[in-house]
Amino acid sequence: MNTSALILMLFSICGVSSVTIYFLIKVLRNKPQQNYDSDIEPEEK
Amino acid sequence: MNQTSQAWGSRIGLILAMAGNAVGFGNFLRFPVQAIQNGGGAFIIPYLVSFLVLGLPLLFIEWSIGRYGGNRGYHSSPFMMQSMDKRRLWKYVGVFGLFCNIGIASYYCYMESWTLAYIFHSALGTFNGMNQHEVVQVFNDYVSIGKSTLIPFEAIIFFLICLGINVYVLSKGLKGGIEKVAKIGMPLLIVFGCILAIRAFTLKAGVDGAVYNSSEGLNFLWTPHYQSILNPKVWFAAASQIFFTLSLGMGCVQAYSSYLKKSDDIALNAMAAGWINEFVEVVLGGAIIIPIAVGYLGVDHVKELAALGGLGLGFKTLPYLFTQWGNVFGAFAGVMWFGLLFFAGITSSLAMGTPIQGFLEDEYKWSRPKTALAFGIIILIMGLPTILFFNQGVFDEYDYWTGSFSLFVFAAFEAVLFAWFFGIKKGWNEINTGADIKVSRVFKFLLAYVTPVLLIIVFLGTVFAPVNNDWNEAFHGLFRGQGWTFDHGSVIGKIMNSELKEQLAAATSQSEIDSVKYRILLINLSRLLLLSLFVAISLVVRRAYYKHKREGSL
Repeated sequence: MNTSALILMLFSICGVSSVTIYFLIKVLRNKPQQNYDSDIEPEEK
Repeated sequence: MNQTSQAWGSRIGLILAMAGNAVGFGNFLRFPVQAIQNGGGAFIIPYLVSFLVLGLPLLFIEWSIGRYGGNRGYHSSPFMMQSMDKRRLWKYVGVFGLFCNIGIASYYCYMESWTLAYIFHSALGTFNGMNQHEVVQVFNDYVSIGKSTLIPFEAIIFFLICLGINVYVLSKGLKGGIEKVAKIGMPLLIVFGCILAIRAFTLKAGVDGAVYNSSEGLNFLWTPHYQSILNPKVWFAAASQIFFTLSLGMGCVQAYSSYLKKSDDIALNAMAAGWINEFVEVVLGGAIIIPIAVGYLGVDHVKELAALGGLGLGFKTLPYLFTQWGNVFGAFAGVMWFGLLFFAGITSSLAMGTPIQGFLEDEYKWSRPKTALAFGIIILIMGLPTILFFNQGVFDEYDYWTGSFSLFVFAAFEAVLFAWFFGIKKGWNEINTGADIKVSRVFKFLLAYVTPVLLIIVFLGTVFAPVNNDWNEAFHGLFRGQGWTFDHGSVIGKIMNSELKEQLAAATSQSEIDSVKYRILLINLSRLLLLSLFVAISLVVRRAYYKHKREGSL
């Protein structure tokens, strides 16, 4: 592959992948929101 | 206020459903073709700039409008928009949020059914031993109703099966239907995409019939032609691609987010869903179709095929190339390729059904299964002309008016409503309510000034696009007093049927003249049908508006 194409491809793939992973991790590390059905813990009796 | 029994089951389910709504055929078939036609690797620059200044702000706008309207009991755009500003015009602007979904789903479900048929044929080994011409002929016969196919009237049968699956999933509601499909479909789509991308990246000249190494195709796709960035045509192409890929200006995002509570985050969710779509498009979409096609056919042939659009590459070329990988892996690759397209398609078509269901549920208190069935019947009626008259251009006509023109109109209006009528201060508060991330204040500036203005420019660009979309030449010509020639694909060119009139003028035989005249008739009739649909929805919305007024619920 020619160098400019390779650099641009790697830059795009790595850039987009890392930003996607960053936001997904941020979502997963946030505490569950009580508003979603399955995130609501059953009340203790 | 209207109440709904619907809710999202989990946050990750919502994000995957939103990402699934955005990820569609365009990610795999349209993006790589746009890139090679608009500067190669350099296309990524206007593309990512458009994503930041147009895509993300519009995602914020649509998520906010949806949650705002949903919390007032509205789950489709007409009354969501009406609730943000009291001027009566907005509910009619909101009609686009129903019209676009019906119009697009009518031909989109048909395309989705092609993928089902091609999964079936790939698994069955229909393409084994065929030459390229024969594989092309399979597609041509498939879309020409009445031609001999493996199953009689195959296109209609698979369309009905596909529609049935959509209706069934929609009838199960958000949590039990759409969310489940997204949770299964999106991971599978990514796994299939990764396997095919690895195979494409490891293509070697001389192995499995490949003529070139994968690097040839990757060079073709990614070599930057930086001078292209100075061409407005490339920027229009990038902005349009962002529109289509994020499913903006359709009313689906609003419908999905209308089932959120007031304190639910939208900023981080929108970012996550938007970037998943970008991952699928840039990383996977750019890694499959072009490297494989160039590996077998060479750059020049792929250039010719790409000029005809990505659909041809996806449905006429790849099935043939997969057979070069042997009967077993070839069949497996075919199932994966059309499987990922099916998941990309169904997660989008389900999103198109949601605003219609939301409207019928809000206004007529219909149950989910009843609204799903109503959606299926409407799509069946509206979709049949695209199947029966595919070769006469009715399919493309639907795509142009509902899947392109209407999106620009609706998006421009909703950006203007959000920033200038609802007010950027209230709008900014809406975006930040419950936000799990701090949204940069740069977006406030973009939302207030840049995005609405850019959308108006993009809309005007589609109306007045000059011949060959060559804006530089068009403006030079205008200043030299040569006037302005509209492109066949511009709104004005389309209304005037300029391309067909050109074909009519060039026709030499009576049969050719009759054929073009027949096409013009069908195309005008399909426009009339779409216009009637828009008017009919407007009347239903008007009736619902007066009902709300009488009940004092607006």
